[in-house]
Amino acid sequence: MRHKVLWSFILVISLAFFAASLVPEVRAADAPRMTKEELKGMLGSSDLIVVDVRAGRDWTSSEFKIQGAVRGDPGDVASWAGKYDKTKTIVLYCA
Amino acid sequence: MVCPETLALAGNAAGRIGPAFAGALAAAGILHGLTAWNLGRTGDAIGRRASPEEVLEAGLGGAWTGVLLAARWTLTAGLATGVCAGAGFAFNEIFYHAFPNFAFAALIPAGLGLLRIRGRDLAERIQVGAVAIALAGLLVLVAWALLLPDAFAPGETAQTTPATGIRTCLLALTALAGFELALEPGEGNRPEAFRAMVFALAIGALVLIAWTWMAAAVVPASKLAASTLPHLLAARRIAGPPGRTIMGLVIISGSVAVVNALMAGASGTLRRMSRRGLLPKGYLSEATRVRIFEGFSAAWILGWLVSGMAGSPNLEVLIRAGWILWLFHYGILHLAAYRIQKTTVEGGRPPGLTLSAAAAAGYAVSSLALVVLDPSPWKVAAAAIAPALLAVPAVRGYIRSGRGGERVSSASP
Repeated sequence: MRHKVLWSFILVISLAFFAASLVPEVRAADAPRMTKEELKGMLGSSDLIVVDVRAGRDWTSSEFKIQGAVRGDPGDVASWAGKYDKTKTIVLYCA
Repeated sequence: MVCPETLALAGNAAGRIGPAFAGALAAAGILHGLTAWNLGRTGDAIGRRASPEEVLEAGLGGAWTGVLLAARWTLTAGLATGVCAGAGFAFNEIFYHAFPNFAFAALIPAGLGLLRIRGRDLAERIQVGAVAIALAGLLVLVAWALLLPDAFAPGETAQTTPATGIRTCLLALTALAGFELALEPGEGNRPEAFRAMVFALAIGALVLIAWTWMAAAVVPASKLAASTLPHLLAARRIAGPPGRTIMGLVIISGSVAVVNALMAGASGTLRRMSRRGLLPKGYLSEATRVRIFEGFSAAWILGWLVSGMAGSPNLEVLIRAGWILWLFHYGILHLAAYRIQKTTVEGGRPPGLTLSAAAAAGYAVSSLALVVLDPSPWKVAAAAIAPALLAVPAVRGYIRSGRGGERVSSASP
């Protein structure tokens, strides 16, 4: 009986650890959005900053990025969020 | 495994430590070669060409096959998801922009799953073709690079810390891991399956060494070290747009090969474990179980893809954890071989016993070092330990329940 309890405990703890290690980060659901056509019309403007925040393989497996885009690690927003002029239009793209 | 993952690893490593990574690959090849030799030798000691499951069961007890199960299914979840995503991008960006990358990524496990459910023969022929295309593509690029007039002598490396250098060398072990999946077609029963395993290891090591050397010779180290696609960078530098197309073919065929091999390994482990009474048979015939396991391995990868795991940074944690678990299982395989050799060989100390112990220790230390030196050590440790802690007690509990019936003898197929 004691063995069963011990193994059940190990099982639950393992599941919790495994799930915790794979939990995705929380993302804002209500950020304003624009279509790719709208963005296309703005490309080249000095008032536009495009930040490539693709994560995981979406970022590492792609050869392409939007013209003039700068990289921003979505897992470390604090390190780059303050770098850009807030009066400009900042566009983040993730796919 | 010659796949986009190992090419990226080799490219980054060539940037960080230069051609020294080729030396690390050679050393890794020797250690893995020792594992292949020990697996074959232990098979002989227990009376047949044994599978890793049998060696673990005979040497340490059935519960330890849980580590193998955990390693194979964890790496299949992470690596197959990652390479499918990469192949999707390669097809979309290099060959056909209108075809969605995710659809192509999902086609690989879905197509291979259907083929494997219908029968493994065609999937095995596709495996040979895919590996041949990937290796031929890389060799063409290496030969092309030799003709470049302005290739510089490798030697320059990006600035790295000693810890990064050590970790990079240890990662060579992961680049060549998985060679024993070459046993899957014959389930280890045919002598040629063992020759195929050693051949796969030797060819994989030689091609990766040549590629690492060439990448370090044609692309500046800092660029190689920082790129997420160093193999595409090198291919473009070597041959321009044709080089990119060739590398696209290498990426796609390498992805098909590695996903097929991982599916074969994952389903094969379930198949052999259920046959040996280490997992439930579910009152099903062998043929039905095979189809279920093949379908489950494809659904497993598709599930991870559909869950959006490919876009999550946690995928990298899962892959690194899978590799570490895989290396650790090589260590316990040596430990099992050590115990079998010690008990079955009569008349003094069998040859190679010290080598078995040293290899087991080498894999254990390497696994631990890879956890400690990882950028996210706690996450990787949790993702590596948890699947094993789930699988080992589950298998142990099933064996103890007696529902698996009498153990199948080691000498039976």
